Amino acid sequence: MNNDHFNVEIGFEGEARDDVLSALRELGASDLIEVQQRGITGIDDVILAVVIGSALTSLLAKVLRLWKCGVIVDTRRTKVFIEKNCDLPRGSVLVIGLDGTVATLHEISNEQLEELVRSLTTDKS
Amino acid sequence: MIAASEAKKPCPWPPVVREFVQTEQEHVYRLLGMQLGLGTDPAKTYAYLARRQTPPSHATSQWNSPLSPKSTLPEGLWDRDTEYFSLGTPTPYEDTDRYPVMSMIFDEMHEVFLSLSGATFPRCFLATLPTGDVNARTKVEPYTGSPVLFFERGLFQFIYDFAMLVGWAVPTISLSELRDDKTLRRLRLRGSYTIPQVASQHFVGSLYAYVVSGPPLAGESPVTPPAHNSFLHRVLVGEMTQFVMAHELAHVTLGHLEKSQQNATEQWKEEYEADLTGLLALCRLAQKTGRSIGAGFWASDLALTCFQFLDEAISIMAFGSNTSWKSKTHPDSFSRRVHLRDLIETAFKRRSILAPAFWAKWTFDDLVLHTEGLFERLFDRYHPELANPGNEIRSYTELSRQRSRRQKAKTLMPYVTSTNYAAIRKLWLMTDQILGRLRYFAFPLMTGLHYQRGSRPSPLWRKRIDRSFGPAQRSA
Repeated sequence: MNNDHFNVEIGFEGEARDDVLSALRELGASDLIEVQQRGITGIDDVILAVVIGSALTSLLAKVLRLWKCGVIVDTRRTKVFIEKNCDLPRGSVLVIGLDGTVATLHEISNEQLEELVRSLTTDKS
Repeated sequence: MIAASEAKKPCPWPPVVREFVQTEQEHVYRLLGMQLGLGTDPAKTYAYLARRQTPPSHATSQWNSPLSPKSTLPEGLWDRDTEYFSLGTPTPYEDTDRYPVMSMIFDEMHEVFLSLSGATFPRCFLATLPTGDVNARTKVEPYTGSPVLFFERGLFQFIYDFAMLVGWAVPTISLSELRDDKTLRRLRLRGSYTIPQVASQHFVGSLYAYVVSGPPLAGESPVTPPAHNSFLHRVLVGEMTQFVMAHELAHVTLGHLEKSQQNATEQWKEEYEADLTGLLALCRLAQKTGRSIGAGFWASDLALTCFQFLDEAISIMAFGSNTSWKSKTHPDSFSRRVHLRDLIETAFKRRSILAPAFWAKWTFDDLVLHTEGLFERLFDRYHPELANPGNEIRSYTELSRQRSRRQKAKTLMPYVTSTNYAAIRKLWLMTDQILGRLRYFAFPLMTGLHYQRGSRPSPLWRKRIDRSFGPAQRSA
């Protein structure tokens, strides 16, 4: 089981906020913050949280199933950005690794997700 | 928390805020780099986009000086400029020439807000993002609670281009007219005034280019500068930018960022409040620096007009003529314009009722305007059904809404003198006539292009479309 901690920022314009919040609570996320924003013409919904590696795997599996579009996972700095992206088809995930490599995965299995999160841990170390 | 005296000084950033902003900027540049085929290195994308940016029309903090009656630099100003430039940029993703200038403008507005609210509020930080969206967002850094105002470069570019369009479309307005409400009120469109053909071409061409090809990320403007109205262009860019900054700062000072999740009605109400407070801040700044208040009213109206035109063009290209507004966070820009105009008019009517004690100082024009306002108010009171056809005061809710509108308008009363009001009425009329004509010419053309050529909005507008528009719902 992966017990590394990850700071995640989740952007989910147009998806149900309550679904994301309840998923994070179920997975035992800590430091849950709904980022307060205002804008001149519109704003996106953003939530910050700290999750352990195994919970991150489950979170990704859940949002890939729930959201109407694909997901971008950007891991290059101190935070992991998980962002809905409608240029990607539903169920797809585009991963930007620490070294800048980009990989797009379609119909991703749980094993592949675990492998993906494990690679983030390796990158971190 | 900071005091008013400290607001106008450049301030080094706390490391945690710098990290927060840089992380956000790198994420956005990385995604943009992938879209542009430049790879995932944010520095490379920044370097590519930084080659050509919005033309630096205001290369010093005196960017808005044409409106100021003082032609010489106030003592100590040069030192302040040097201080700002010597600080450099907070992250490697800010332009070394532009950022200090933006900070000076921002800090000036920040100081106005401190004097307006009479209280302290958290120091706000300024940053830019390059997604191309025409937007500005205020986001709270979660660990220090510091608000960071992210301005999209696309916003500055669009304001810059729209101000050029206005410059092309309206007759020449001189610097002396722009400086003074007394001369602005005498502004008249001659009966034979024809909108220059180049203005119509630019209007259709640039709106179409913005919507279909996406905003020009590398600063390649689709409009050429109007030589006959270069002062007007410069003044409008400055005032419209300040209105946007003031709107964002208003959210901070009004405590909107401290509230938890709200429903659409409350969020829309907060946007109207931020527009009004932003306008008040512009008025205060104009009063402090001896500039025209009417020009400030006009610029805020034009800022909302440019968002309205962009949204209309995007929605036409996305859904044809059958669109409805569905944003839960923001009212449409047309309603926001109407709301601000309504408040200014209400403020003037209230003022004209209360002002007779000062009639001795009035000119003949003041007297005419006051009398008009008085009759209009009496008419509204006794014949609301005629004054506002289809919008009669029917219920208690409506009455209380009207009352709260009057209370809000009261805050604007010190700024809506008969001279300022006459000036803004002239400018509104001119804008409505000229831009209205351009709009009625351009939008049917765009609808045709949507249906016949199958033109669609650029994917860069996808988020904006998702959150703001939907196909119109058919009534049963």
